[in-house]
Amino acid sequence: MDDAPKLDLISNLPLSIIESILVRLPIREAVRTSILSSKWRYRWSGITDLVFEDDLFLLNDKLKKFITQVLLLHAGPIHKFQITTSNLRICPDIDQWILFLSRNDVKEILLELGECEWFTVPSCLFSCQKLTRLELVRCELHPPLTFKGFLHLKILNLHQVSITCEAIQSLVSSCPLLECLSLSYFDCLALNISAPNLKYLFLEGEFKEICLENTPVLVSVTVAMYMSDDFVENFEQSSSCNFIKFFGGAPHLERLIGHIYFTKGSSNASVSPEVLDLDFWENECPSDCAFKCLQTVKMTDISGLPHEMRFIKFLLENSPILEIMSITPSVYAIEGRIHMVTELLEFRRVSPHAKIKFVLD
Amino acid sequence: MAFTKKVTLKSSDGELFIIDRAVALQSRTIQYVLEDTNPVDAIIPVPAVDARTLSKVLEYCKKHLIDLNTDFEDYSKWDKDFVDAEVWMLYDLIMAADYLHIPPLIDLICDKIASMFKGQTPDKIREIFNIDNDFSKEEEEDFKKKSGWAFK
Repeated sequence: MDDAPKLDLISNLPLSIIESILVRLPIREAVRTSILSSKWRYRWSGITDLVFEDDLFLLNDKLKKFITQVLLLHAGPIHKFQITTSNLRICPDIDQWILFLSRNDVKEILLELGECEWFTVPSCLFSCQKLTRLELVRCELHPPLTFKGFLHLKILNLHQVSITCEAIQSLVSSCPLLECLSLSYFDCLALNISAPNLKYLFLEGEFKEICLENTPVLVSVTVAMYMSDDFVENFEQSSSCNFIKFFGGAPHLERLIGHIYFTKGSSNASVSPEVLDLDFWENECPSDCAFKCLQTVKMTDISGLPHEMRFIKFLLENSPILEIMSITPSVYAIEGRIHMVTELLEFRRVSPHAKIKFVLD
Repeated sequence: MAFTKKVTLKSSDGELFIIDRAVALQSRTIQYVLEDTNPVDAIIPVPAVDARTLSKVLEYCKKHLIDLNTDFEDYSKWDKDFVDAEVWMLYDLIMAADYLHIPPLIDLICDKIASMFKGQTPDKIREIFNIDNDFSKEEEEDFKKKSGWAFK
């Protein structure tokens, strides 16, 4: 019995399953299965997701060679190409890889090199017409004048990407299927967003004005705003129109998450209620706008300033199906907390199910 | 008590399994059979799966019926124990999951098998899965040399 050849418990699995297993391995280990037996020699070459992450055995030049070889030997479609590693320095090879991918109908590209490596995205990226997902970190992005948009793009995530406001606006509006947009470490004084299929929006950075021009199906907005002193003043003077534009353009909003970091200390003192038009919500908000779908609101870093409280009050009074209003007070607003809670309790809630959560860490 | 529709499955070795329709519907293969023929009280043969494997697959399907009392963590612990099995069992299970077309079960077993590959030498991998190395020593050395970019 013992001499009988044992049944091979993996090599004869359906190819689709073998590929599902290989794609779960770090790519270097997947490639190294080529030595297991003759059946395995080229099995890795069909994996559709090529993900290059930090690997102690693959540093800079070795990694460069590795990626080039993998692309040369790869057979069949490539759905995903990801480089997220601090072990690779900027090199002309990157441009060539992207050129290769652009001829391969790649669907997802994710690129993030090390902290000090800012690369310029080659223009051939814009000819990857099958892209559904694009995520870039620390790079310069200059869409060519002839660029007509990514017709299939659903996810766009740019972190610390240098691109002009005009370019990002035109990029976003030329991706008709875009569902998820995330811009972080971004400063743009006035951002107009026009994206008819956008559902999820994440913005982090310095913005003075965000205008949701055409976002009829937006369900979730997360905004983290950093504001410098002079910024705050400008912001408040124009805030009424901002917010009307903001919410007027998102009639189906379900989730709103706001982290608004005013410069602590000095700016709080400079915010005088007189500057604010506290009635701007009531006065300028069109009656059909806003919050008929809003269910969840989370606000962090709330200091209890009049305009903040007024905004919360307005949301409570105008969100008929609101379930959770979660307020996290600013760590600097210790003394005002009781006052804040008392004020919150007084606000009328139009939704019978609305709960107010006051979150203390 | 609510009336639940039952479905009977017959394994390759002739054993019958009478289960809730909702459990059976997690297999897309069976779902298609039910949609196409809608057999009343009929027995659905599962010729590619033996009783031992089928009972294990059905155990998975029962557990993974949407159960409001089970939170996410419970599942992951249960799943981990479920695939803590001998290699031949995993092989039978994944073949069955592929035949019955139960994607989450396929994913679960692929995760497990991939974890058995990770960090192992080629020799160890061959040993775990009984892979017959049909390369000669010379071929293997030659191949490693030529593929230095992957093997150094």
